[in-house]
Amino acid sequence: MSQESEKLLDVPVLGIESVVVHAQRLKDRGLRLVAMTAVDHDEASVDVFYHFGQDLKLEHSRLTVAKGSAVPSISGVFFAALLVENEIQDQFGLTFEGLVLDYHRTLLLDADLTEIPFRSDIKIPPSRST
Amino acid sequence: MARTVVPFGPQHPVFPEPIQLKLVVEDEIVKEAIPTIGFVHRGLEKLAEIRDFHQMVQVVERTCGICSMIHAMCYCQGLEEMMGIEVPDRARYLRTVWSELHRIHSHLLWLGLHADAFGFESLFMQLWKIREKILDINEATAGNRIIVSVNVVGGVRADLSTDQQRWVLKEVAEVSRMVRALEHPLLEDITVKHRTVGVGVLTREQAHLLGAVGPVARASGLPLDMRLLKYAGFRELEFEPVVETAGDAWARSKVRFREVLQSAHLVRLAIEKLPAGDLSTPFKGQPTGEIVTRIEQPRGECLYYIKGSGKKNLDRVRIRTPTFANVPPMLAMLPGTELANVPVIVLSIDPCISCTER
Amino acid sequence: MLSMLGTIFGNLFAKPATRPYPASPRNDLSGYRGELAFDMDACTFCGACARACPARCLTVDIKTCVLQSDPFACVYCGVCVEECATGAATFSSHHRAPADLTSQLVQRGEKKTKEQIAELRKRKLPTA
Repeated sequence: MSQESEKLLDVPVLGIESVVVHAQRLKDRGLRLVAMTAVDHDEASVDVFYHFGQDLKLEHSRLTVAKGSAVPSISGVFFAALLVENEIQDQFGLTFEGLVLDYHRTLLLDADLTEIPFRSDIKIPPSRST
Repeated sequence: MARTVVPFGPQHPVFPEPIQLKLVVEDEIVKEAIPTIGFVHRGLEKLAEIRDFHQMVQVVERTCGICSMIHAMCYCQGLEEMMGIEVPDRARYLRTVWSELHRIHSHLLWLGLHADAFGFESLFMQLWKIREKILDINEATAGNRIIVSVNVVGGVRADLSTDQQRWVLKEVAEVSRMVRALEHPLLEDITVKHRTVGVGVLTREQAHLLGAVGPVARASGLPLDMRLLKYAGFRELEFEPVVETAGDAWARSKVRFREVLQSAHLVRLAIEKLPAGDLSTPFKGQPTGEIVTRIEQPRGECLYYIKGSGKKNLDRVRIRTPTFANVPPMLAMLPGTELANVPVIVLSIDPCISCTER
Repeated sequence: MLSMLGTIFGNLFAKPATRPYPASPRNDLSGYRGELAFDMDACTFCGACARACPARCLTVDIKTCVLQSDPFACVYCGVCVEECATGAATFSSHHRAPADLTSQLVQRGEKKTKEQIAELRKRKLPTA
């Protein structure tokens, strides 16, 4: 049994209205924001994981939203969240309201790109270009 | 005096990686800094959909051209935990040897660039000459100089014979000796101190709130080092993180310098205690479930989130690299400093933008 | 000031740190993955190497007994050498020379019978 890997089982689920309050509560307890991860939950919704940490332990929370929806941003509470929330905007097409520095989907991608890379309908063609 | 916007980067002789900073400057003092990245975005995470989980080891290795073996090790550790594979002891220790060698070469690279950033080119070349010894060890033992491809899910692919072990110990001792001889020009020289002491100060509070990781956090007094999670050979090897308290660019270079010597010591310990055994464990099945795994790269804490659902291709591989976490502290260090100090500050977080953008 | 004299004299009489390449090239290190070579006498065109390649640089056609490899797309990872059941894929430790045009390597062989395939598999030396 290793300490460095944790299977994500029984992760507490947040409601969309309690995200910022939850982040503030954890910040007052002394935790830092380690990372956020977005992953497709199913055809119509996206999971956003929040990974918080204190010393060497991690605490996870999960938020499930429909694709294309707006999520309150925690960058007012944790400044470190701005980069990862912009990245999730680029890759999954969610919108974070209240971002302290908003790149409007140009952080990683070109300004004239309209497709959302991680939607399951964007497939990489099988042929390899030589 | 009116404010001017000075674009710094993405191509600049001092930057090793393409990041653009728009600096709002008034009378040579920086007031604000707005970063722009996205010049080297390759979309590596999307490749998980068409490469099976064995081939993803090679893809994930190429996220970064400096700490590549450690990316592969983190990915393999996550999959091994997800599928319940027990890695043999010999493979664990060999992984430790190669990852600490990677840490030495990465820090030597950075120390060379740090010297080059304030014009000390001969010191830059001396440090990279020492680094060539480590790359020769990689080439002879693992097969390539930097992107070594030595990890597989379940263990490692190459072994160290007794002759090779003796040779590696001799070379690493020589590296330690040569690096110690350079301590005075790197850290104690009066011109170097003028350029780095008091520049880019990050207090312990700020480092914790902004999520700094790696040497940036350790130079501000936070003893944050993922090797304390006791992965691979660190389960048995004794280890203390290197911590400084000054929080400026000089403290960060001192942390990295001491870590080179510490890693050389760890390589020696790991080779002396190398147990006999297999190189890898065969296994069957496909990965299922979600897992979060962390590892200590030369630049800091790296986090992998892997999701599989029983197919050959993984659903999601998400990489949060240390420079990604260190960019907000860098943005907090820049306001209030002089324009000439900006390269020193940006370089002191050891930016690896190819990791940040993947 | 005097402390620099030691460094100055040391540097004056030390041998140069660099090698006069290409007049004296470095010796190959034996574990290095240099050029990838395929032995057509041992290849059974099973396609295991092409399926395992992470860079998708190999194409194997059993009907025409042709193996096509792209040395410029290859990432020199060595997975094909491990997957090959007969040892037809090997690495030489000599570094591949640079070229000014990319090219593909196309090799033809002969179809092997079942007995020949079994014999070749037995003869493969285990990779280190």
